Amino acid sequence: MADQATPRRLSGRAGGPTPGLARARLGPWLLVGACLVLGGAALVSVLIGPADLSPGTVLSVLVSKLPLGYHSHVSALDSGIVWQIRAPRVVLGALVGATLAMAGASYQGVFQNPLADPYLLGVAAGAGLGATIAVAAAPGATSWVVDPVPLAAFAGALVAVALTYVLGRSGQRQRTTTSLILAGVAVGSFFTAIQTYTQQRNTPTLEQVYSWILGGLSTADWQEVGLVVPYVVVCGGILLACRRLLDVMAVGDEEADSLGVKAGRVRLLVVAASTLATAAVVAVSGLVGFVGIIVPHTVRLVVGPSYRRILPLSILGGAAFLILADLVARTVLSPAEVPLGVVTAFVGAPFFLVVLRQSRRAP
Amino acid sequence: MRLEIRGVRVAYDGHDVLTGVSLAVPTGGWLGLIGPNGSGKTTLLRAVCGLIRFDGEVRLDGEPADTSRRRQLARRVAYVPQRPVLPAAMTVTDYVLLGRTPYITLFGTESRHDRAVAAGVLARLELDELATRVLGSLSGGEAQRAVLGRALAQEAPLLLLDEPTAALDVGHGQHVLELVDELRAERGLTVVAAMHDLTLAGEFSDRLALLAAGRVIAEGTAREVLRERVLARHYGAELRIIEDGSGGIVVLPRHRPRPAIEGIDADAWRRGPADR
Repeated sequence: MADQATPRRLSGRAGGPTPGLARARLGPWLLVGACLVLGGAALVSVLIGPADLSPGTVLSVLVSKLPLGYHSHVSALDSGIVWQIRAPRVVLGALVGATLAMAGASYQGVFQNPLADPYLLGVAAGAGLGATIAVAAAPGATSWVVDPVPLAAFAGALVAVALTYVLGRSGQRQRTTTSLILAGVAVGSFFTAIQTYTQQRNTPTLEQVYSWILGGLSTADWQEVGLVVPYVVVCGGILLACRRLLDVMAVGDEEADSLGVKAGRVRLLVVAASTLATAAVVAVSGLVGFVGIIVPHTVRLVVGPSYRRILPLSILGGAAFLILADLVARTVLSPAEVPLGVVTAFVGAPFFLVVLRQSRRAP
Repeated sequence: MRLEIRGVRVAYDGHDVLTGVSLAVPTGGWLGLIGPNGSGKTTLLRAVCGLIRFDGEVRLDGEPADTSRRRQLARRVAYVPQRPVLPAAMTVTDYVLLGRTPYITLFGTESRHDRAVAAGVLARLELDELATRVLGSLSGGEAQRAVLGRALAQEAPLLLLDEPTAALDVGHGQHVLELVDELRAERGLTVVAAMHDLTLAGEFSDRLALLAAGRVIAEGTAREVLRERVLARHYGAELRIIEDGSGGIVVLPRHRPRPAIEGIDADAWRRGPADR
């Protein structure tokens, strides 16, 4: 069942004792390169902001936070700007970007669908409904000790995906990828309908809900980072461990089964890990679109179809991409902020099209 | 590996697809499964490698196959479906390495030994030249060799083939079957192959089993099974069976001559200039 649209690559390199036997592995240089890009993006982003701090000041604050016994002589105000405002925002941006790209890549792997993104099974609609209900029920809640909006969004996202998973059986009592995706569409529409209705009944909160849905990192602090980190680390570890299984899934459920892999269980594990991590980051960042599709596909176009390369590089690339997108979001109209989701699509779409046109590989 | 199939029964949506099939193949034997479309050949192969639920029993070397232990089963049974999914951008090497999956722990990756096995398979199937090519760029014959390579990398003693030559021309089809036969001799593989081409099936199989409507109609040597009346009844076809004098049996479809239709000149064209 060869894809007819695939460009024929006839210049196969032959020779050597075992030609090409290391191809699916991730070379150290790609990894080092991606880490450098991420480090550079983080550094640039922490250096730039509305407060006019010199690079020396910023670096001094950052170095003083390392356990080296160095104390900076920067004022408490400047130190606070760097460490309490810029640094957590960059770290949170990295976590959100890494998670969305990682979850998108994983979904594309287990659903064998290039259009799969982290919101495929209803995370977005569920989180949106949760957030809307929380805002409508308690409009002044942002000043509470614990903000209920992220919690409600997190819960809503998990409920929506769980519902999709339970309902997504076809007539044969099997969960095929198509029936799951269709169930996701149905659950998503249903939740969105309730969300829209709730919103219309509570027009004074419209703006608050709208700004949450568009996504952003303006509320970032170390507490939010601390809330998200455990989910991202644990789920990221699970997904990275599944990287070879995702390659096996490329031959379809039945052949994966005949190779000794229980495809349905792998899909459940991957969906659960992706959903949990996505729900956690969506709860703090709102709905940032596009990252989960664009980053994995860009990586795939560059390094080929193996998830042993795509997953680690998507994590690093997604983090770098979102840090830079957030830098744009908070600087172009400073002091006002452009919604992050607008920036990711505005910057990401043209960039992706350039990569797509220059690539000789099939996505 | 000795394969015994005992009273295997499979039902889809309430109607039976296989109704109590029993067959046996000794170690190193080649059983050809023949039968019309929908007779249950593919279903039987899928049952043997545990991809579908069935009643009855499949025994491998005398022990019941435990289909719940997929990895163990995949080390003993390799299955080549009729239309394998070939990820267009995957290289031949990576694809063959997928055959090592039953030997790799759940979250692990290939060992040096796995890569050595895959390299051996690539060399044996003369796929080294294609090792870095992507599957989407292969011809039908090359792709079929790659799929066979993945199955061989499983190092399973039982090889199940579903229509291995369906997409191939006469030359490439013969080459693939010769290859399977050589590997069977080298590695002592037991082969069960569903085949449409009755002549090829008779030529390459030790014994044939004719399935129709989910049951075994005939089982035996090619000479015993490939009989005009039996095939005509179950295939709904008119066939001629010709023995070629050197032990081969040729199955030919017969074209019934029809009366000429007035006003159509193709009859003269068909007869050729010599007859005009």
